[in-house]
Amino acid sequence: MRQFLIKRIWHALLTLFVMVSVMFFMFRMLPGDPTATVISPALYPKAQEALKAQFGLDRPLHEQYFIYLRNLLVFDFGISFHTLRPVAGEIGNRLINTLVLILPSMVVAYAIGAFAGAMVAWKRGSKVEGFLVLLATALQSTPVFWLGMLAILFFSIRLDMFPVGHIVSPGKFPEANLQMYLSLDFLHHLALPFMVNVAYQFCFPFLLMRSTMLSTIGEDYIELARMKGVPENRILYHHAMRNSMLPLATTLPMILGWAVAGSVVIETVFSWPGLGLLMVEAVGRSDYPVVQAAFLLIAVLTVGGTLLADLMYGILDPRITYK
Amino acid sequence: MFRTISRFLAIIWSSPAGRISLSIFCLCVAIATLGPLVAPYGPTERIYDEAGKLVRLSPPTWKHWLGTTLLGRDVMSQMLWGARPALTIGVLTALGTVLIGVNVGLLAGYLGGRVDSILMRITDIFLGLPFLPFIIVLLSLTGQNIWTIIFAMMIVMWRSTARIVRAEVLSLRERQFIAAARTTGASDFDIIYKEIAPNIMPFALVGVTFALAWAIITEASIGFLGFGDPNVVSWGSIIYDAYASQMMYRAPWWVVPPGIAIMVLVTSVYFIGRAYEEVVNPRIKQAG
Amino acid sequence: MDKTHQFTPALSIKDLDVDYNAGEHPVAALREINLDLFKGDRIGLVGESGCGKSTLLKAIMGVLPKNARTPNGQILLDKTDLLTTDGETRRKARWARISMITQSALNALNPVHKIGAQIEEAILSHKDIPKEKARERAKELFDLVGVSSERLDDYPHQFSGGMRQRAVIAMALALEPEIVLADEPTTALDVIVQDQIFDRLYSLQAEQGFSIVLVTHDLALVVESCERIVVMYAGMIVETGNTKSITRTPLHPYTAGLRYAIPDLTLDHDPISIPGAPPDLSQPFQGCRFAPRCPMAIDACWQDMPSLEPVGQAEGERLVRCHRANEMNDFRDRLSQQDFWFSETKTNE
Repeated sequence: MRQFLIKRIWHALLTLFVMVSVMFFMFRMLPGDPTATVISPALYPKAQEALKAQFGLDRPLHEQYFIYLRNLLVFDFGISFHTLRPVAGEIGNRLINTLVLILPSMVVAYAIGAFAGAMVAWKRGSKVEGFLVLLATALQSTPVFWLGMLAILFFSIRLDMFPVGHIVSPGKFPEANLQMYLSLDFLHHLALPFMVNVAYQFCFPFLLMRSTMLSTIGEDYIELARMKGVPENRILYHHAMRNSMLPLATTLPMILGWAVAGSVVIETVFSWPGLGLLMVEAVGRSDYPVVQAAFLLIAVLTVGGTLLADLMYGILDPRITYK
Repeated sequence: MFRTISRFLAIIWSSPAGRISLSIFCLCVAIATLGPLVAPYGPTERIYDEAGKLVRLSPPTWKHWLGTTLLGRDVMSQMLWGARPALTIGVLTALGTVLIGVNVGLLAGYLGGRVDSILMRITDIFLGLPFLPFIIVLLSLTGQNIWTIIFAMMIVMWRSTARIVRAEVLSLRERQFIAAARTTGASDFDIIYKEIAPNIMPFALVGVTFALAWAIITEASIGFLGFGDPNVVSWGSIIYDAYASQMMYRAPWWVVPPGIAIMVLVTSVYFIGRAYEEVVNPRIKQAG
Repeated sequence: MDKTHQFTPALSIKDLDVDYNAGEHPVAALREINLDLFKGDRIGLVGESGCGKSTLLKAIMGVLPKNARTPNGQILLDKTDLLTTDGETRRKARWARISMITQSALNALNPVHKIGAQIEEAILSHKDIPKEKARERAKELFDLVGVSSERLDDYPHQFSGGMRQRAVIAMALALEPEIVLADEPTTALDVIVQDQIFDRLYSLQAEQGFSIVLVTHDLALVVESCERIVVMYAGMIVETGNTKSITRTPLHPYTAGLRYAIPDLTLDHDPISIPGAPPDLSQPFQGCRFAPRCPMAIDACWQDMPSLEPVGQAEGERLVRCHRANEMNDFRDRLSQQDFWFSETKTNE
């Protein structure tokens, strides 16, 4: 177990390291003055010089690379071109905003999707099954930003039930703090993007759970359980569903990755000030330090999610021996 | 190759869901090819009424079935023009993705050992990449046109095909006909591409359909985020224009059609892939 | 039969038919099955795969697939018909009174639950007792089948094939059933382990007095241990009788084929194998189902299905479903020769 853990963590770190390096060199390979991607051209020349020295931009590329890595280790992501303030200070809140939107909706979507998938497979051949399969596939095929726009059009504009976007009403909370995240105003803003994300994310676990259940139901141990006289409900939950959760767990890292990466789109539609929106805005402003930092954090979330799901799989399936 | 594809079509045609999906897909292909010829207006043509006034945000009328945009463009015409880039980009990306994925999977699975572990490490790293953010960063660096979009999508999409193919090659490698080919002195290249590759075809085809579905949606998302090719009107970019103009909530006719078109097209692609997979993958079939 | 056994049968199957709805024609999976099982009996049910053995077991255990129909017949446990009784009664009868040792112990055990827990589950589904009591019973059972009770908390994949089979036997005996159905219980195991397992099973039977139906494609296995043999082909019983008389004088050519497939040192030729394969039961067929493979088939065999009838001249109580059962003495030698099975010319006298 311990060795497996170390190996997985090592792999995750390696992945992040490679991504960081690729990012670094990609941005330095840009045509023109390479420092232009690190230091805002808008600064006074003197300030530019000072920053150049601080980030070692006057030194050879490989030295810059090590300085960059060293800075990352202390969460120094450089200075934003746009606000001219350290990136690290601005990005923390954004990270929290992304997490409060994505994580709860993923949990709910997974719970609903897996349960519904299991139930329709168990009662195979019902009309509900056909309808839900079609619905899930159609939702999966729908661009999530469009779904978001329809939701706004209908719930916010027509019915005036929810705000059109943003995380809280403007000016209400000058400072993002715990009080804000607990306020009704926040929940009111959260509701719509939350529901849209649930609708979108529910498809995959639903479809996967259904097809896994269909093959699990044909397994010998289900028949044996039935012969043993185990009550049907217990067979459903304790045997069929329990076993069908395994593939869902293996694909969880992928899905978590998609969800975090997909936050770019959903945050844009709802003007939700998370990492994804930050990244899109920063790209638009050519604010490269922020782009890199936001990308890295999203990557950390993705890779971290993968790691977590791997460990979970190990707990769910006793056959996995930690090598 | 030809036989595999005709078998592919036959399998899909044999199920009702597959038949409907294939018909819808063919319809979309037809729109993509013929659409620009029958479109009443150009995709960026501005339309003026008799008084010489721009026809802005007109709701659907007999003249403009799907209304007009803020800049006085005919949505119906844009829809007809927009199918082509959506499909071209989707199909090219899907083919490229599967080409890379299949080759990586074949090499890793067949050669094994060092090559395998290195290739799989690389695949894992790509699996960790956040999909859309990476594409956006890449596009912001390379500039935005159809080819960079295809390239960016390909780079992050081959990873899943590679894994599936590798797993399949690992089991094929132990089969007798491969061992037989090896004893007759066939080269590794011959064994990989003449003996193993044909057996991988079904998986590659499933990969193509799912990659196509993904690519179409991703292309739309890229367009929506404003990173599409600014000179091309695609279904995704129509939605982006509506969104960026801030008028979308006043003009549903502008936003709803492209979304529905994408949804219907991608749904049909998914069902095609699944109809085929159910037959190719006996585990699912047995249960069904 | 009631003469030889003083009691009414523990399990009695009467005129059972089972159909599967699949495709255009329903599959006639079982036809006219009659079988009485008495306390302490050890019956061997023999036939190739696809002859309906598994369907019969599923019917008895009440786990026929959803597309199966039972248009005729009864499965009587005491006086209750398991086919028509309500679901809850049937669920309670399962395992408590009739249990089963399944074919593949690996697939039959749920891989994600501990073996002990799976045995306890069988007990707790029927008895309203505390968990600890069930645990004790599971320990006892592991002792009975010869597996250390420390291993109750292992998962199936941690067991060897032989141990898994023992665990499945332990599970089958958990509720002290009257009848144990054993479906190819040892096919996956090597011969030595196979013998150990059967020894254990039969000594437990001697102690506890349950009856066993041993289901297998391997006649040799049955000959060693069972008192009575039932031979099935294409969903029907083609011959029954006590083991000794069946092996000495098979009356159905199919039985003869199975019999002479066993390597036998007293015969001066090699074991044979029956050419061909069991028929596709979804195709309607008029005559004897075995006719297409039978070297003795005559016109009548292609036209009428023979019925299962007693044959007078044979020793013991014998039932056989063959038009030419009375002529078997003349054919038996030829049936033991492989060449005869390939002879194209049907003996149409």
